[in-house]
Amino acid sequence: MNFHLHKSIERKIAVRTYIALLLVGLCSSLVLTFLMLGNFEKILLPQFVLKSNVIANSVRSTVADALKLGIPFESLVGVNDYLSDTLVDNSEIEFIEVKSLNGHAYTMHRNGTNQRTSNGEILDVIDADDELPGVTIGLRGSYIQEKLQIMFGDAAVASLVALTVGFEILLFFIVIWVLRPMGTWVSMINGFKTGQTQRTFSRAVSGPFSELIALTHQYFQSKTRWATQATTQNAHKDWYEPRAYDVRIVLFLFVFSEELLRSYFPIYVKDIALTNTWLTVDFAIALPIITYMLFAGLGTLYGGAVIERLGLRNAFKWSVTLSTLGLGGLAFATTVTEVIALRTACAIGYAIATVACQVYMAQSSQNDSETTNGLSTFVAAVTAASLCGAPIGAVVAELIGLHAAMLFASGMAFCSWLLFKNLKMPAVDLNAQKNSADGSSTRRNFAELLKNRKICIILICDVAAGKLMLAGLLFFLTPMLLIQFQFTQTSIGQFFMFYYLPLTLGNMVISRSSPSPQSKKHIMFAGALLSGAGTLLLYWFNSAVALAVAITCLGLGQSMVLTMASSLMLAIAKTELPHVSAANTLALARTFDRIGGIVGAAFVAFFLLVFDYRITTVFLGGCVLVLGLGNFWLGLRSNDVKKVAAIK
Amino acid sequence: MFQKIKIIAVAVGIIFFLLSLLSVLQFFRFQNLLFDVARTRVEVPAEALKRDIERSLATGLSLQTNAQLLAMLDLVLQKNPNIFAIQINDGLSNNTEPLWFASNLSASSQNLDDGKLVKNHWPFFNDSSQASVFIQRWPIVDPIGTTVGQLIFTSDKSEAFKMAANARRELMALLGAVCAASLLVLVPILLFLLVRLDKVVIAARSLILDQKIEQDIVAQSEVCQLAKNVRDANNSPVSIQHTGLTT
Repeated sequence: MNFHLHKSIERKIAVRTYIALLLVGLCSSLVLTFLMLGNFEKILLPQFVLKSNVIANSVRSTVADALKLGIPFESLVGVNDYLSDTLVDNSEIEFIEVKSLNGHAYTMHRNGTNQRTSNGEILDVIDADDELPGVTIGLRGSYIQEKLQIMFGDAAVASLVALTVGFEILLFFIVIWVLRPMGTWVSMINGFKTGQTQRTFSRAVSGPFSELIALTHQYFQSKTRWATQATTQNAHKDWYEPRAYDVRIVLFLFVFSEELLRSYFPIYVKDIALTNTWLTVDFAIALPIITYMLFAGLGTLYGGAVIERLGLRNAFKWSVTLSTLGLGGLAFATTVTEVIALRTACAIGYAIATVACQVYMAQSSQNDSETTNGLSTFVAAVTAASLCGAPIGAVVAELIGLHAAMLFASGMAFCSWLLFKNLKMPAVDLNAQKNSADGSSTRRNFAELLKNRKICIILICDVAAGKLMLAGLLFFLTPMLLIQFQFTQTSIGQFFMFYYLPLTLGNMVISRSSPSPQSKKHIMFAGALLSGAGTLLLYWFNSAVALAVAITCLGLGQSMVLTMASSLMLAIAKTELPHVSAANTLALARTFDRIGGIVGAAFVAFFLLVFDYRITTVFLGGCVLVLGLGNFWLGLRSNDVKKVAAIK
Repeated sequence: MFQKIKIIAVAVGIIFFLLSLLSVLQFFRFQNLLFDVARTRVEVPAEALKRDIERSLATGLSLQTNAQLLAMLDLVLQKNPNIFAIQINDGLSNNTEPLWFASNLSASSQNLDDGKLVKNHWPFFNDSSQASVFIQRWPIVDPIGTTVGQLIFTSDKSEAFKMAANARRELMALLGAVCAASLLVLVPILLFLLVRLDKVVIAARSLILDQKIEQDIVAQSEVCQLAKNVRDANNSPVSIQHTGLTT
């Protein structure tokens, strides 16, 4: 039942509603931010003046101490050096002037001159008297503005996070009030047309269209009341058939619960390790990450079999139970061993739950186009959760403390089950299940894929290398480095946006382009190099800006690598190993992804035994860079390219 | 009407969530900045004192034997009423007792540490940002570069807390005003759009019930097209054959 009413009234109403929400949301955020920053400025300005007064008094008493020794004011040595040291220590001060009663003055300006300028500085003046010299301090008028500008930047990030979460919540209600009822209605009309009228309503339909559906249902019921027969198969079927978007909010919440830990987990483990560990602190931080990656990898490999055995609903229920207990238990963990055990439970739960959502989406798709939509829904939900998880987790941790933040994450995981349990499960295609169950050749396929040189290079130099960097740099080193740079919990959370934003934007750009197979290799090669290159900056600059550039490079690099690697692997497998299924190729890629994660965390832990965080980061980037160079062996010979092109 | 209220409530709730998250994030940034300023204010006399102590070490006096240190600590306390206590710890031995200690508070508060002055006693809230004092430490380094001691300043945080609380109150009032303003803007727009949607639903219902309706709505509405399908399916003899009905 396709309509070509691209500008139908309903679509116009939907677009206008969305625009109204977006405009009101953005405008009110902007107004609130401006007013809020104005208020903050009013509170902060007297504090800076107070501080400058303390500095003025300190300078005055230091100079007075020198005068007490009998040195005349005019003959004091080193006053300029002292004043410039004070300027270096206090970046808000533009100039300092020390003046005697007879008018002799020592002045030091931030630009190194001995001139006192007047560029709108806020002056703090202490007059000279018979014993003590006078001190004038010029506070930089723009200093607070600079600080507030940084806060304005943060507000933009916060708005993006809130809009993303808001969008997911909105989508949930759109599914309940619009998509599900409309799906039911269309299914009902189609059913009536094809004679399958004996279906039931298993749930109440809500939303603006519920009245129409109820009317249609009554209408058809009255017509079919005297039906002589009804097919038993249809009698138990619901009018509504599950769709991929049904599980989106569930997946979002579940991944969100895990991502909440991203910004503070290493810090949390460090706190535990400092008081109770049988390992070095760095290993104690790395071990839960390694274990998590290992069990998440195994869970992904065997997740399909578990779902087949338990069924979709039970598999999800048990995986949520594991995750909820794991996350909740972390709040009470007192030793690293307990943390490792609980993270293992979380990893298994996470792997099975995400596979269950993928299976749900695949089973609810009726054709290729719906399968593609399902996969993009999966990626969108996971990306949105990753984007919001770290910053919101950091805020929650700052608000209620690290332990309670773990309980909050656990609650989120449990909420995903509350939403999942009400979902109608898709009908299982028994033939497809039989085919997938008949997977005795899977191991053979994996072996064949691994024997293929090109696939092996992509797996090691692109897929695993990317994850090596992600687990090592982003999940392990970033929080530790930022703590070293004296960042707060909230800022650390927001820092993760430097990865997720370029990744999302890069994916958006790449998904809209259709490069040739040769260009794909080049893009992937560039992405692999970019992933590691950024960290080299830390060798020269030990600053948060260098780390931000490194993480942005990683995000951009990974957006170039991820899609291209899967696409090239599938194309190569199709040409050179046509009997190997795409599912097996992707499963192997996912396994290498996890292996990269395990090696990344272990690598960092080993290096930290010898080097500090900064040098370890540089080494990690260097290794990824070297691995990226391995793409040279991928072969850019024309016959290879032609072969792949022929398939495309 | 209840349906409309529900939809509007969700939309307004999302906007409120956005604004609240923004406020919370910004408040924490502000609070950290405020604490930083308060801390750096203590840094000024502390750095000066540290310089003086290190200068006395350069003259050959040790931390243990320099009786002038106590007078120096007292002088800093006198000049800076926001500083509660200053102590000098020995950096070369494992002795936790301070070598020199001066305080504006009672003697019982000697050897102050992070855990002592904590406001909230619930285990989940015992992070350092909740402590009611700032505790800052500086190493005391002798002329050959060895850390021989630690200078610990304990200063007042309550002023900063008070200011943060005021800022929070103002922020809440501001948040309330902006939320109310967005509510006033959003509700009429959403009501207008929902009334338009209502018209479509009414037209579709009329179509199903075979009643008269405006043709231009039917042509432009997907819902009306579906309703038309319902009516057509109902009137079509094909559907009756399919369902096995006899009339």
